[in-house]
Amino acid sequence: MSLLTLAYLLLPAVGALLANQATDVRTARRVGAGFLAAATLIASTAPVSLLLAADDPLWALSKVASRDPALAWAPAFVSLVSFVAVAMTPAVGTRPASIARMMAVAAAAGGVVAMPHPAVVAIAWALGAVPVWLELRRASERGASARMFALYMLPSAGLVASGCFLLSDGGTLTGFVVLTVGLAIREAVMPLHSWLLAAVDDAPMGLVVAFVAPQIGVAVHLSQNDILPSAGVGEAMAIISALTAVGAAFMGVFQSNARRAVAYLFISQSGLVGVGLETSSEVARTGATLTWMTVGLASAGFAMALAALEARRGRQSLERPAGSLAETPRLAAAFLVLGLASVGLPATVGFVAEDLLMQGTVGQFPSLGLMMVAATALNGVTVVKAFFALFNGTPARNPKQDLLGRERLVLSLVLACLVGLGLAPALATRAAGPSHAATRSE
Amino acid sequence: MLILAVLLWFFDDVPEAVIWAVVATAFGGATLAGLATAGGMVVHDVDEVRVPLGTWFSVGHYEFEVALVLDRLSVPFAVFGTGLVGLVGAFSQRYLHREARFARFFLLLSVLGAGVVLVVLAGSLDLIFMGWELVGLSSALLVAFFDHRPAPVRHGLRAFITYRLCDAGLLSAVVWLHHTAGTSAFVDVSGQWASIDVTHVPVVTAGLFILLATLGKSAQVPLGGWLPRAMEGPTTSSAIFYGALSIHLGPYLLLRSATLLEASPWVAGAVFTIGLLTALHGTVVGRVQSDIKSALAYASMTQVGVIFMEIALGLRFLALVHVVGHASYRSLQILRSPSLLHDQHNMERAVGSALPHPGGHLERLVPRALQPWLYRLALERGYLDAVLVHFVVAPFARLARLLDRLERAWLSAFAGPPEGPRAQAVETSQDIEASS
Repeated sequence: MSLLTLAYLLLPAVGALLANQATDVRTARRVGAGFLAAATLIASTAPVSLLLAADDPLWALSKVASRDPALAWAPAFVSLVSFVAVAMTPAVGTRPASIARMMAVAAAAGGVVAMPHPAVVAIAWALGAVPVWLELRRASERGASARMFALYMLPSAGLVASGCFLLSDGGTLTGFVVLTVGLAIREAVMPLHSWLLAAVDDAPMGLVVAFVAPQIGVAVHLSQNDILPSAGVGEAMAIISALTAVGAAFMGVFQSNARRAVAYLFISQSGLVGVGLETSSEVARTGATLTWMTVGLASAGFAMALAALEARRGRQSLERPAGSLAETPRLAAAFLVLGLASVGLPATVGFVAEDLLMQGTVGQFPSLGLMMVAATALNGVTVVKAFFALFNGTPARNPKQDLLGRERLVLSLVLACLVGLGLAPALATRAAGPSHAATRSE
Repeated sequence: MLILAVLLWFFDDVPEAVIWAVVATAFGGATLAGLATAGGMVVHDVDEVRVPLGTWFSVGHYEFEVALVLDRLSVPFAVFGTGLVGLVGAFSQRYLHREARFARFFLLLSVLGAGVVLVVLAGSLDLIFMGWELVGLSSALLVAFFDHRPAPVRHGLRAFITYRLCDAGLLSAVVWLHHTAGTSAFVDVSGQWASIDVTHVPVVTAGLFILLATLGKSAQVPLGGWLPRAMEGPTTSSAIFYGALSIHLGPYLLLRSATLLEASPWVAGAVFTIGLLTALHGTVVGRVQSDIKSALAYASMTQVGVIFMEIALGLRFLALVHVVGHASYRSLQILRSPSLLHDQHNMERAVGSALPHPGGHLERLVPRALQPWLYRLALERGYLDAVLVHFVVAPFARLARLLDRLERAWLSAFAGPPEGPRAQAVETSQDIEASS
């Protein structure tokens, strides 16, 4: 293991220990955000290192990155999303231990993407779920969500470990299917999604974002790119993903609970990514990879904007407009733009990702391409419906504060990434574009 | 648009004069550029100018080309659109002076302007889709402009849902054209202006997708119920969106896709039928409206229905003239609508008697026995909204609620027994310890 990889893996872990020892949540958050920012900076050397030397002397990613160059960006992406989750976590109603658990989740996710060795993936995959379970055990009413979470995550850990073992032993179709089912549970593919709804109900939003938004299952899937499932298996997985995208988008529109609406948005978009990954076209796979990162970053900002609103006004319902745009105009604007960027707002990289994903998919699966169009349309409705309900209405008697300096800085960073890469997407498409060797031949 | 957005994100209390200066410079400059282009094309007797701006992004064989088409269709629309945005901006600068939402209005007006310019100058359906989305979003946000009142917010959401579902038609058309023909770029095949090359395209499917896209933006039957409700927004935005630019983007898209209508009598027939039904619906329902903005909304709907019929019949230049004429007249009417009583009194003073009730000749054509029935039908807006709500939306909502209940029941199956007072006390003391 190189020094940089070690530093990348240790920073969130050490940050978790220090945050846990902090006397107040603000200190814990400062420590956590600092360590994750450092990890992000270190991780951003991975693609540069690969660009300069094919054998990647600084990172152990050359093998997987030769299958998919996007994997070189995955460590930076994972720590950036975790940074957004930690830095945007409000102090109100959060304990230092919760920040420490977010850091622990980030450390485990970093292990999966930076050390794509089967044993490391299997262990880090299992360990990453433990902090969320501990938080849910404490927070959930009568233990329901903690038990449900355990019921889903234990099989997921077992299946991923078995899949990794079978694949490292020779790359069988059985291994691929076992691994994929394990990944699908954590990616909340329908009907294996219920744990996510339970988790968003009870866990701090930052922890849910750190656990879900990086979608590290996509990285594992991409790193197994040389395993070719039969056409039937790939098609079946694409159909399940498309049904997930449409089904979750449909459920999201009718949600009256803001957190559940966000959860369904996560689920639907992970379905969209899934369709692209199962498509043989280079365009679709690039679109899927770009969607993975765009949606991860935009959704993290979107969900944390909701968390910031909850810190000001408590848990939010979408039954009727009950907010005030005049009080929190920047928070409202960030919520809307980030939400829409995740569903393909023009002038953001979300549009580029969506365009590539659909153009690439329709050639192989025309009907699934049209289902993806429907899912995207419904997801847009969910975002705008939530915006209208959360930020329109009569101003409260005690005016709420707009974005704090810290929140504004983090959201500005996320928005700059999404808009900057949207206006000049060449870097993003090059980063997400699979190498020709990796593209499954049609 | 981007300059204004960045200014408002980073600075508090940006002065009205600065906001207006940014908008006026952008749209004044765009109008002058458009006029200069039009003049140059007339002087040099050029029918079409293509401006390739390069490849925005590409992967493998797929490229997103950004190219603009300046021709006899796009240039009048572009000059008219940017000029009108500038004029309405100038009007709004006074109309919304010291309004708390002044900055938001001008930001959304800029988004509309950018969207319209993209749609009309686009050299491909891909680029049209980008502008189309921006126009829809700004429209819905302006309908909900007075965000402290529940009705505008509800109506804004309704408008956005209609747009979004119909936009799926446009996105499907884009994807379908790439799938079947390999491109959605407009080429000079019709002899009048650049349009879709239908050689390898299943025209009925693509045509129906495009028709679906136009139903939402142009408030055509059966999806036009959002239009009268959209009048809850500021009068100036109603004028430019629903009197002039946004509502005429549907006809623009049909004119740009004229080859699809030529190639398929079925699609042309569908466009004609929709236009006819909308014109009848608009004129009947509009006659019983008791507020001026709703009456004008239905009048707009009627005229756009007639424009659809003209396009379906191949009367494209008539449709183009009709669009520009109707947009100018209707936006002026809507802008003047807050002064309706004042204008009415002025005219009556000038004439010396009460003004005659217009439209009576049509009412006389309806048999007396049918009049109450027709009146009721018009009051209920042709029952279209009720049918959509009860037979389309309600079943889906019931299904979603059922699935949600099942989901919650599944979660509650994992709940343990209620905790006793002792366990709760231990938990509370642990919490206090941890937080201290």
